Amino acid sequence: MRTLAEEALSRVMQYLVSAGISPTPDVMREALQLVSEVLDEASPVAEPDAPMLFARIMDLLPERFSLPDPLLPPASPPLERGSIHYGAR
Amino acid sequence: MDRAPVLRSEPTTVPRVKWRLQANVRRFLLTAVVITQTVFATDVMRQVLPYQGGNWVEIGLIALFALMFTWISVGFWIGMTGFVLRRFGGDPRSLLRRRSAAELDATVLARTAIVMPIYHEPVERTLGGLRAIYRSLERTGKLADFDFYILSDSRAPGYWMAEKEAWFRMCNELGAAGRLFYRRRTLNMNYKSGNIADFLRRWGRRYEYMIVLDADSLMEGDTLVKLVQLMQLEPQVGLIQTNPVLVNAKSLFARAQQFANQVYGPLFSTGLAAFQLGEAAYWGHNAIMRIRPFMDHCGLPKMRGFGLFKGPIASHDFVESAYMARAGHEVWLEPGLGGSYEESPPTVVDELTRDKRWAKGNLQHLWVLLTTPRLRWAHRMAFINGIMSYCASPLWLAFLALSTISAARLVLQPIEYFPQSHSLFPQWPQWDPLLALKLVASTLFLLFFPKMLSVIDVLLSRRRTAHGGFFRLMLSVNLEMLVSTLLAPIRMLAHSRYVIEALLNVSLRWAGQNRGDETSWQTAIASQAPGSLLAAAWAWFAWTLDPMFFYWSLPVAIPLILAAPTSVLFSRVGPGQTLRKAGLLLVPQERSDDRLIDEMEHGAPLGPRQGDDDTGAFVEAIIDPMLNRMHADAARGRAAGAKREHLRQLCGRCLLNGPSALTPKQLSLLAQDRESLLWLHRSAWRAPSDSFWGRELYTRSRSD
Repeated sequence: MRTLAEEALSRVMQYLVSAGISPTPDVMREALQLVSEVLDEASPVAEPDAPMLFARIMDLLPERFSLPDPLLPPASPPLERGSIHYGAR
Repeated sequence: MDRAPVLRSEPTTVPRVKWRLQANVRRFLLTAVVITQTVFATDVMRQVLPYQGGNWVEIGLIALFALMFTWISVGFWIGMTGFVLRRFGGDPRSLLRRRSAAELDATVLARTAIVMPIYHEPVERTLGGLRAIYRSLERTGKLADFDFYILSDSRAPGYWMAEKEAWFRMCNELGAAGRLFYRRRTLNMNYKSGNIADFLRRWGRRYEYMIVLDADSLMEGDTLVKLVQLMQLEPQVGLIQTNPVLVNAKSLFARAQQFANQVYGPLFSTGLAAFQLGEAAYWGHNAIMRIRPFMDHCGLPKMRGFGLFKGPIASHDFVESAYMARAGHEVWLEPGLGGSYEESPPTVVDELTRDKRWAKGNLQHLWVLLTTPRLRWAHRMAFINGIMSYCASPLWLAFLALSTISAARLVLQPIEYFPQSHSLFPQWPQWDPLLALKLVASTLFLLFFPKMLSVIDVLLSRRRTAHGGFFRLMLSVNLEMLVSTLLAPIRMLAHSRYVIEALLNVSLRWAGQNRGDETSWQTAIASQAPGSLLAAAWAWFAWTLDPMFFYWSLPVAIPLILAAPTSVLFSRVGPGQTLRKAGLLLVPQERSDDRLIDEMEHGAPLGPRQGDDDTGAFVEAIIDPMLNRMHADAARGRAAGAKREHLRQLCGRCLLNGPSALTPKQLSLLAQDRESLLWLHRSAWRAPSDSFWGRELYTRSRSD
């Protein structure tokens, strides 16, 4: 059973790797820092609400990491319309 | 971008090789020899019958025999011709023999589109194959002249989302952005030919040539280049069809098919090409065509007949080649071009499912044959050939039925001494078992001798090592003949049913081909039980009539009675691989590593990690940031009002309960809406741990 903090850190790293960022030590330190800060923001007496915590972390993620813009290949070239002819010509 | 000059649609006046005269001479000789042989054999058949054709049953038997014997005889002489030509180094009239290797190499290529139409196909195999083709072409150094198009007709979101994901991965892996494209029609019309026509209307004018692949096609880069070079050198040619050989078989059934195709196929394809020359048929894939004349002359109008003969033409390829030739362009089958492959259906059940579509498609050609003006005679014959491929089965079935009636009449009815009224002389039934045996032996000779010639061809062309050496080759040939003998009655009965269904215009389901699964006992029994029961009843009836007739029925009855276990056993990969390890049914690609096949089989995964189910690709599109952007970028974003509200409700349900709470149609709606995709992506990563998306992320973190 993972703690909320472990799960939050796992999600951050998972997202970063999926987005194309290599999990270098620096990246991991920064992710840890982000989770720690968001946990600190939460109430010190009550257990933080998980969805709120994940939402806050995901909101801050683009500010703390430069997420690469995916290079999207063109699905098709520009149209050059032509006609199909039916029947004998 | 440099564009090669677009050639005129009309054939140019290059010096014509006098192949037409040669074709006419060859076809005349074939016709003469087949007719002579058939007349002689039919007369022998008449003498074999007890009343020598003296009643309607025997007249029917003689007529059916004549038709079937003609069919067998044509096959025999095609095989014989192929053998002779191969012994002399190939057909001197073939297109390939006109040009030297140096001449081909010096030819500048023109812009060519390689298109792969797909419909609910397994992504890993299909697009893995396309990736291997891409790499092979890359190695030729001529990639710059080619573009690739995946043309999808898939409707289920599980399939088309997986296809799109695979396309995205391939673009990244191959660096193929801007060269590899993905197009999915939103409206499926006119099957595969409609898909190709849709491509041509949009982008056909960008290219000089189009190479059409099937979902299981594999082609070497060198072959693709050579096809373009040949087209460049022969401007009167509208289409070149390669002779794809079967590879990559795993199950016992597919390996037997593959072995037969590679051992016997070269003779028949060489012989067929020799009679067709520049009026060959298009087989629907692994072929190159000149786009301009194809667009100008090969559009398929809907049939305006009745029943089966009304609506779109299901089997487009033969018709397109006939139209191309009618417009004055040559169509060539080139068996000499290697490096062209396809796969066999893995099981008998899958083959028969495919044949159901093909039977309908070929029977529709009867309408084209009878109603289309100015078709070349050779193409009318190709239509008849295709129709006979399926109609031979009901003819055989009718022959068996009439034989049974004839035997029953002899046993159950008193002998008819005066079959013709007003005759003063009685007609005694006569039996000539020796003559009957001779007839059977000569028919078997026609059926099996070309196979023997194929084996001799393998031995003389030093290919025996590739098939496991002399003894294993011989053993394999016997094994293949056993398999084909066991399958022949099963195919006969199934094809007969398909022909009847097609003529009655029973609606067919157009489904993708299974390319991997074995046949379960349940499926085998469900599909084969009616035939088995019919065969058992027939054998029992034969026994009650006459033990000799019973023994005569066994070669057909036994395979039908055993059809279910046979189809299960033949579909199994285990026995197929055991035989491979024993060096039986071997083909060259199994003995030595083939780079193209190896790359197809062992490439990086392309599809979603959850497989081909309806939700795997959808989950991937929601969770993966890159894929989410890709799908969102291509999706629509203009829904408003009630539709937007409906989409919001679906999003909410999907977030709460996961995609399996939605129908495929609802998933498709979400997957085509930009706002929904982005919202779900954002929400999934914020979802609580005990929700569907939270659990999904947790599982992924564990597996990563």
